Amino acid sequence: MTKKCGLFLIIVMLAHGLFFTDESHAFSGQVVQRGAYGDDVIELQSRLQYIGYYEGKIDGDFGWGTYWALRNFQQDYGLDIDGLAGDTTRQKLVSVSDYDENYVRSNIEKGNKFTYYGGVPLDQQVKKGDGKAAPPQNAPEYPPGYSETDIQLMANAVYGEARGEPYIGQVAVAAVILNRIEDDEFPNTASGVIFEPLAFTAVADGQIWLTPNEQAKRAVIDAINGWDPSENALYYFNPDTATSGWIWTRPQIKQIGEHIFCL
Amino acid sequence: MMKRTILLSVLFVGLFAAVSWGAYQKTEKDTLKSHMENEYQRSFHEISYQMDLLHDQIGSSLAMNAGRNLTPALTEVWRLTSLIHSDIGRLPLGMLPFNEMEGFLNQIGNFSYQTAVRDLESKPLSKDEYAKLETLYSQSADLQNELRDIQSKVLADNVEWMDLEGLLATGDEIKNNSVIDGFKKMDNTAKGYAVETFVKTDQETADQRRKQLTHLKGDDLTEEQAVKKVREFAGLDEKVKINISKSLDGSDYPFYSADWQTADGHSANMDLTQKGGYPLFYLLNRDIGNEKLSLYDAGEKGAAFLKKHGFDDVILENSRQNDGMAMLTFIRLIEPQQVYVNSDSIHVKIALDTGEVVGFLGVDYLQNGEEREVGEPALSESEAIEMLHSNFKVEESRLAIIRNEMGDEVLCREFIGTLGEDTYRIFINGQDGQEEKVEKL
Repeated sequence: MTKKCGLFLIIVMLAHGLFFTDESHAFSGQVVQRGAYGDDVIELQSRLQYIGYYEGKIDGDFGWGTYWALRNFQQDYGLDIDGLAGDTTRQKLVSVSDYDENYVRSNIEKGNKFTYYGGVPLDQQVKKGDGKAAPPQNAPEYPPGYSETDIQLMANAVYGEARGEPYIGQVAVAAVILNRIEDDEFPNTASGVIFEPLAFTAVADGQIWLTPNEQAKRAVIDAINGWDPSENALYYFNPDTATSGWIWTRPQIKQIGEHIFCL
Repeated sequence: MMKRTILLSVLFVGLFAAVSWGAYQKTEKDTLKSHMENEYQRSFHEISYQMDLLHDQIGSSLAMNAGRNLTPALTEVWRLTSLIHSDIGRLPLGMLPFNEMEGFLNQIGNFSYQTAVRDLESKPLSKDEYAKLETLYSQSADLQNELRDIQSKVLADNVEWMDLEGLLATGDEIKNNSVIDGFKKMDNTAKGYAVETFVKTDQETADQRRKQLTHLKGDDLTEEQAVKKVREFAGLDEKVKINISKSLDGSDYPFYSADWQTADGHSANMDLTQKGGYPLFYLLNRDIGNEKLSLYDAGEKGAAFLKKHGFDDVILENSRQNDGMAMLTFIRLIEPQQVYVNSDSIHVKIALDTGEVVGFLGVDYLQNGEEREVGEPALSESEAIEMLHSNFKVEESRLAIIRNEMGDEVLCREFIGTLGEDTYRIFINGQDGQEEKVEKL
């Protein structure tokens, strides 16, 4: 019975392929390149896997694995080897492969482990997941070198320290944390810098454990990507409430909102 | 009568509960406090112990001649400096100037590391380096003694770190506290030692110079000129009101900061150098609507934007799509030699709903952008490939200038390829074939 079922599936698949290979609704018509994320990438990965070029996970994230698969495909089919899915490459790919959008999308949504090789019955290619949804559609890819927890921790610190500040002031506070990590005279990790005793008031009074909003997180990501509105500052203080005389002796760089940033 | 008895016993039970709750809370708090205190004490006494070890270890490196034994001895010095550094970070010294000491420790660590990792059999310690180790030996003895002094005060007076923390947190000038004074004195000593022992190398001076952007050409801008530059760069008409302010005196380089509200009420910021008005960064904070552009389109837009603003020697190196935005990285391409310079990078952020530039970051490009002389690599491509791991499958190859672990700029042959499932980027020194850097992508 299952054999028949499989055969039926293959027939359906092939028929499906025959009907749809020349459909122009395949792909959105945009050039897809490494670093991209989304539906076009899911289709690209599926099609490349269908004809055996791509062995990685179909996740909509155009990384190096997809890049090499695409280049190998371009090489074998006599196309320009540029690692870009442009018009010609997409047309060629559509004409030699198949894409069962329903199958792929529903498995991604259900968080199943699955593959999409041509010629193998689809029901043999799915391993049921734990029912938990896959990572959300536009899962932000974090800047290299930082984990999600680092970013979470820094977002907590930024929110606790500067939630009343303008956005640029929040990016600056995040940048100070990063500048300290880089600096010889401070601990070398995000947690080391943030939890250094007496370094941040929000840590001392527990405000760091407030739930940060999206803006604080965005500020941290901007800072990690390199934006430093503090212009290399290692300290900042509020001139109205600062009690330490020593902090006033540091060379001052600029003021943003309520904070003076200094070296 | 009955009522009164009941009332009284309820009151009594209530009182008893309150007292025992209070007592419980007090014990609880005391336990926590002493737990914290013990953590501080441990870190402090460990620093002192490790300073002893550090001194001894520098001593044993001095006594060693052969490269084989020297490498582990110097590595141990490096490990100890990093341990002490991390323990200092656990003490509530945040408001106390102790950074000179940390800086000095780090310099010792860097020196011992860089000496340890080189082949000491073929390149033994130079006279200078030996002399430096000798100086460090005596200096670490002094620092060790100062730390011992503080330690004996802490023990003799039963100083509690929690109390010190409370004192320091108020931020008032603290006078006549022997422990705090001891730390200040030690920091001062370390500052003197750092200057005395570690003369800035040419390369460190160059780094410092680069950081201060002194190589930029152009005249100093007035505030009006700076505002004009900002309008040009961000494409703003006269209706938008721009606030501008000058940097304060402590900055590495003088700059202007501009902020304004866009027509639809979003806040935007830009910093530019005072000299020449070079853009340091630009950032527009807004929510992104439905994506209409592909990452590829964004790359084209970014390249056009840079060209328009005079950055014509850069090429798109990397791009990432994230939360409706494209993060583009451009790097310098030196023509006609076709050498890629990773350090001279510009980041551009494009909103994928309208294709608007919402971020620009040029500081790396400016800081590293001094004129350099580019030679020819002595090693051919195939010779360099010989140096790679045999399982590494080369996919792409090009010339690149990178900074190696010692901080020197070196001309390399860069290879991108795969090893098993993963993609790596490997830099082979173009002169001597040394593997300068391996990155997993």
